[in-house]
Amino acid sequence: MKRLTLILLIVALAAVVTNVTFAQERPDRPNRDLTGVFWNPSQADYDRWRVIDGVEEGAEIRFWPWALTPDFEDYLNQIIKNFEATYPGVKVIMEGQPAAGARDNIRNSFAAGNPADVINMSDGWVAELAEAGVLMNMDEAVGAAYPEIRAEYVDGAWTKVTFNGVSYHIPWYLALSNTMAVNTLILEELGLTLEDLPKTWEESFAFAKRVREESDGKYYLYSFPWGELAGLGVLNAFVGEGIPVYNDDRSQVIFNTEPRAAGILAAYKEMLDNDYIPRASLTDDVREMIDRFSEGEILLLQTGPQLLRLVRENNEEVYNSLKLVNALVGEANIRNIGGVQTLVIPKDTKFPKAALAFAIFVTNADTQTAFSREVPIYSSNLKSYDDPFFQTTGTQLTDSLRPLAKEYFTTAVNTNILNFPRLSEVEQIVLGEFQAALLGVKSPQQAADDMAGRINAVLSSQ
Amino acid sequence: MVSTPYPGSPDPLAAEAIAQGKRRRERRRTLTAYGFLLPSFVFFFIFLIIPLITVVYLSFTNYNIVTAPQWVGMDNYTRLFQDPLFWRGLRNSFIYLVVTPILITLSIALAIVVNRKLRGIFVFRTIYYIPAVTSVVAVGMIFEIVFAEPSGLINGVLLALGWIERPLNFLTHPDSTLISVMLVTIWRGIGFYMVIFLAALQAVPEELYEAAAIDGANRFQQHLYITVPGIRPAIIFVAIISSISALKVFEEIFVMTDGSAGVLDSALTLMFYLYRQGFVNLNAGYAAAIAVIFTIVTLGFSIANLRFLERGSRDNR
Repeated sequence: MKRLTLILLIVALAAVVTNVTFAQERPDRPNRDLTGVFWNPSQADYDRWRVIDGVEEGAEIRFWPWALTPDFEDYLNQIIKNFEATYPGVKVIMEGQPAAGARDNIRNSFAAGNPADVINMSDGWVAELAEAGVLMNMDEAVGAAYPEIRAEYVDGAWTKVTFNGVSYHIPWYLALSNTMAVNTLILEELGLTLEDLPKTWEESFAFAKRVREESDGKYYLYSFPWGELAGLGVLNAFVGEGIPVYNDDRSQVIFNTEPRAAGILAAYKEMLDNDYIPRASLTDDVREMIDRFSEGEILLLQTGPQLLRLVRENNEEVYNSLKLVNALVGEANIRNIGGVQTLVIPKDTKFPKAALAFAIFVTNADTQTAFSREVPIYSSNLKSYDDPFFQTTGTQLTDSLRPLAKEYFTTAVNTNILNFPRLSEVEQIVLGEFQAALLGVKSPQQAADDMAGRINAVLSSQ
Repeated sequence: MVSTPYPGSPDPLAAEAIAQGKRRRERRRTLTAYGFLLPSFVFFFIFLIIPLITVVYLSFTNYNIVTAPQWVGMDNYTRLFQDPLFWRGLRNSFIYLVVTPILITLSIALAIVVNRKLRGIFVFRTIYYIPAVTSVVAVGMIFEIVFAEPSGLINGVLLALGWIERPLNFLTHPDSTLISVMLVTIWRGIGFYMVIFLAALQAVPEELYEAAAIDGANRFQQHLYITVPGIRPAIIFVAIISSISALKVFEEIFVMTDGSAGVLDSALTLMFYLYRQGFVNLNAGYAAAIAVIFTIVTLGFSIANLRFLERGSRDNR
């Protein structure tokens, strides 16, 4: 009996050790390549990855990934393992941040003078910290000191957020924003094909009416997350239609001087008044928009492909019917950089070189390619796209987008919408005036004028 | 010359010793009392007095939470009184006070209903109390479904019955958002206040109702002239705490409007504006100025409320 217990104990221990020590095949990560350089690196790889000079010996740095643990913990642990082998003597402590509340944690950590050394955050959060002057200037730390490394990054992602023309983040993973999902169940029920779908926003306004009428009010063409994203969405719509947002020296916004801006607001108002889009779009956030689509009452979903997993979780039948097509574009046919996940480093970190080395390591081509194999996100490092993986298509819905990614990210532009000072206040201004136009409190032109006037007041107060 | 006490008179030294002993005991008792009070005072001082003083200080600074505050004098207050959103928040906070009389009336009515000796009445009491112990986030999410457009619980049923042609805009119209949130507050609060009134009702002597019935008072008159005066202390208590809660409302608005305060900021209360300025816009100094004004308003309102209700109570005696 004692022997049996001992054997069982050894087997259990071996199982634990095996799990901890070796990377595992995971059925939910069919593209993971355990023989590749990321999961199975050699000394030559470590040498190749060592690119930052003067890294502090014995440095211990803290890393805050956002909303990635525990789902991607094994991937993140492998990054740390590879990094510590690349820069012996440097230790990384990972402290995963939950999806909710992370922004407050980050702000509070800066207030307390104890932020992590490398922090992952959404692009929209960078501006306020850059404005407060607490982040490392990446144009200096990387752009000036290591121009060849800077050149590896998608340019629009590097400049996605700037303050006084300076970037304070290193772009990490990106989302494709040039695709949308189509619920083919609705399409077939309406006797339509993918070719019938609108290609531009202008065409979509008439198509939205057609979908409502031909479905007897059962379906909508699309809905919007204006409760959350109206601020950026409205200004991006202006850019997409070729309406200049700023004047030449970016000291003022001038979109209101172009009548098409008010025209866009009027078009949305008409759709809302006639119930061609769900009225709940006024208050929905992205999650609610996806839930609404998952219920099977919306034909098109415009969101990054990485969020389609939420549709699968909500309603597998709808997910299995999805087809991906090119997203709607405006008259200017601008393809803009979508969401950028970033890494920032506090200006006052005790180990600036080690922190920088780690941020560069997390975003190097091999590390990011391995991440793209984990989940359908895209690398901010253009060298990743030389990997043959990005020329292949797989069996999953989003796999078909991979070969398109390099061309997209080398041509997509940054619309500079995130570069306002006091960004949150600007977003609230745009949202308020947009709602005023949609609800008929103001004429579209008046709302556009007031929107521009109030933003200019913010700009001139700087 | 030392005076000698008369025989039988108390020895002054002994009296002094007794007095000293008494004073020592008294001092010890006082010290013991302070000793017991000290932990809560330390807690109170650290977590209330210091933050209160800090907030007042911050209200005179420009502070973005991330970097050190800078003294700006009265700037925040000057800006505050010229800020239309501050006035809207203040107005909405006072509008929200409408829930107080509604809550009191409905809670008393419900307490009277469940204050009967019926078999299984405790089941009803428990059911009515459940909203009070349910997380506000859960309640908010449930009511988002109830109010959803076009196929939430209310709209779905009304549309299916053909009673309405287009969905009602509970949360997407500026005139109805605040009212919709107030309904949720009322729904959550009734059970809680019902229990308070139920306890008060148990103390009203049964004979008074019997006497009133003999005098020909109907049920409504009995409650108006016996129940209401009988539970007046509970009414004062509920009026004060529910009106303070109404002025402070935040969670319901945050959850039901997904953190936006509704279309056109129609459900923006002072507390919500404080949150937005402090934690969204990172204007913590400005938010502190809002907090100071809010505290003064709440304090003033509570004192006025108390005085008014107490005076009413005295007049009825």
